Amino acid sequence: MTINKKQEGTTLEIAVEGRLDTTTAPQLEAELKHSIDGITALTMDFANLEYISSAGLRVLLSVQKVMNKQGSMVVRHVNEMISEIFEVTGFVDILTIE
Amino acid sequence: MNDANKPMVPLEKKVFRAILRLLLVTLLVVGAVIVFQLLQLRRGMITANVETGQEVESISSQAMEEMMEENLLRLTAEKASAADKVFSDLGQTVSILAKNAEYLYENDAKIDGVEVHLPDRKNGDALDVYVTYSDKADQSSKKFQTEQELLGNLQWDLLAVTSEHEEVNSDYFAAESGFMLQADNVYQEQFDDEGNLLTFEAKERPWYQGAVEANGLYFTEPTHDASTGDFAVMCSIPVYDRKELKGVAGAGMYLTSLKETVSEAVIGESGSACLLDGNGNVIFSTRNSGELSAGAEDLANALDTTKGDLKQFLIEAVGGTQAVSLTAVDGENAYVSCSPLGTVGWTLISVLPEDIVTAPTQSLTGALATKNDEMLQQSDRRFLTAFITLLVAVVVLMLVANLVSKRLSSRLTQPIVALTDKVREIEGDNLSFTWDQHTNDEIDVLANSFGTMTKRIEQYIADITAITAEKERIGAELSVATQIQADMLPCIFPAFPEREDFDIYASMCPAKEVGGDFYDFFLMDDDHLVMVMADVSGKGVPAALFMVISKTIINNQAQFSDSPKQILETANNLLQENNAEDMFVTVWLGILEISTGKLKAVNAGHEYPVIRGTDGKFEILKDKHGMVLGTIPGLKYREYDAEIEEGGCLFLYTDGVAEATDAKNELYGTERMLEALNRDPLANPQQLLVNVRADIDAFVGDAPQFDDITMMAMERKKQ
Repeated sequence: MTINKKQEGTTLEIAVEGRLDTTTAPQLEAELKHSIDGITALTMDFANLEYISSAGLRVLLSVQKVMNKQGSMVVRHVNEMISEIFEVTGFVDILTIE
Repeated sequence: MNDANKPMVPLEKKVFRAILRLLLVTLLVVGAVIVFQLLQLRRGMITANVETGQEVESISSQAMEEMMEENLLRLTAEKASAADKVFSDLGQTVSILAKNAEYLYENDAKIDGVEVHLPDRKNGDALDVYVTYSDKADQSSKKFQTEQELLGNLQWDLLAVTSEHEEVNSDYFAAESGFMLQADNVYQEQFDDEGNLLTFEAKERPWYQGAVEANGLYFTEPTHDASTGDFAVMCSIPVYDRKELKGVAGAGMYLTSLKETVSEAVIGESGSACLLDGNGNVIFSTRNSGELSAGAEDLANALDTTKGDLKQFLIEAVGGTQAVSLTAVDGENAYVSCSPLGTVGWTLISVLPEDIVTAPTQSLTGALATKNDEMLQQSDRRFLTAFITLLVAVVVLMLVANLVSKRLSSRLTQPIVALTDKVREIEGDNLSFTWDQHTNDEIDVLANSFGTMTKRIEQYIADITAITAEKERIGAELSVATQIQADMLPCIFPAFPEREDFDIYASMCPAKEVGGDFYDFFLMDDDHLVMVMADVSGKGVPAALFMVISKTIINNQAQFSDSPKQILETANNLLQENNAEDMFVTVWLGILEISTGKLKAVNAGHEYPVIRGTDGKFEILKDKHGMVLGTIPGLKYREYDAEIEEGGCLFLYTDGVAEATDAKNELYGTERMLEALNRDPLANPQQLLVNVRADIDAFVGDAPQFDDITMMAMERKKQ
């Protein structure tokens, strides 16, 4: 898994590539914890995300909860498979997917 | 890599050998250099000596030759001059006699005549002046008597000459008219045996005729005097009065003194000399035989007895040259020098054998060579001594080196040996290592490092022991936990052996010791079966703990309500409390009315259920989905109805099935799962699970199991 960060002021865009599973989820969690302080607009780019497991969903949930308090969060470029997972798990209801 | 077959060579021996080798090579190199230098020096000395000898010989012999030639020539010239003086003196004497005679003739008118007596036998051999006559003389003529008496004045001169000059034995004046005045002591010869006075024909004598012919000073050829054994020479000069020949004055001389002069021209013992007359006749010679020797009786002519270079040299010598030449005399190389006697045209020859000339040079070079040989021998002895000394030094040094290197190597390696022994002591559990030597070098550092290392190892062993114990404890606990978790789930199959109307089978296989998946089923009443399939986010102990809470809450709620919607909504609210870690759980919960097959269900973020209808084919039921449980409070869930036909089957699973991954990271997927189910769709629930599991395993291959794999199948049996 690769994480690419792009920050402009309080706007942060994070592109996640590869598999976001039990093994890699803690890495993304640590990265986000470290960088979303003071961010008001977070964009998660999943264009190159191949797979997301429940551990990955948990990280998304946590971030979403934090961002609910300090700004907004958008998930974009979600492919069909990830989109299905979001749908099955009901995450479509709590995430802003573009 | 160690060669096990090779015996160990102790370090001490190695160091010892290395030092010894180094010393040996050094000694050999130094020795070789010294020997080489000595040999070079010796060769140089020999070359220098030989060159010196040759040079000395060359210079010496050349110098000797030049000196010898010069000396020989000078000596010959001196002696020749001395010999010549005898003749010139005689000539001078005879000249005076002739001048006196001429004076008498010129002044005949003024000078009174003096009588000269006839030879008197009674006088014996006393010196006397007397007159003799020719047979043709006209003794009676007045003119003859007057002339004889005029010339009688010459008698004292004649006497003076013989008495003053030792070598002159006789002098005389012979008149053309027939008388002869003579001064000597041999007048007995003028008488015959009977005592009668003999006549003497002076004009017939060679000295008379020669002088007249020469019209000046004349020397006769040497004549051999048989009585004395000496050679005699006569010198004569014609006397004129007003161009008229009046007579001849002369003197005879023995060459006794010349013999001495010639012998004085001899150099050394082997040198020789000889005197040749104008024709090459040998007058005197110190040589007794062979070339350049005098004849025994008659005159030997040197030109006749010699040949080749010597003859050529003699011809030139007789011709009047002064020269020196190296030529063979009697087959022996000799320096031959010649110098003329100007007055008589004779030649003095001096011979010096070459041996005498070269002998000093040879003796000098010989001495030099001997000296050189001595020096060489001496230097050879020194070289030998030096060589032996060197050899002894090498041997001694080697012995010393042997001793020193042994001690040195032992001293160098002793700490290493000690260290090795100490290290050897470390065996098994005994890791204690103490170093009490202080070599203050790398070995010290090594030993101390080793000490530190053993301490650390001890520490690590202690740590590892503790960690292992801890791990074992955790492992044991986890295995208990696994068992507890397994026991929490309905695990006795067949679960409802008394029921003929349905069959249910489930399995959970956690990826780790404990998992986050769970299933549950129980009968609410005789006709209502509650089925739960859930998946907690994450894996391992956190997921397991959350799973326990989730299962308990859901199970509890199901006791109070027959509405899946209500059960999950309440459970959601309960779960999201104190859920700081944002754990969540996906849950499918359904309540089946067994008698009718009517199913009320809620899907909270869980996988789609799969249902097999009467057509005998499993198909995914795309049901309504809600949000996962435990995230946001107050969530509302939608409940839906479905029907399991008689003979139909419900298959529930977690994402561990659909998302099982092979080595190429390819997901197993629901399509493959459906295929696996439909390969034998009418199999009983347990067999269905086994089939799917086998298919997953075949797909995944050697890739590790990522997620918990949990499945449940419920068949509503045909009555």
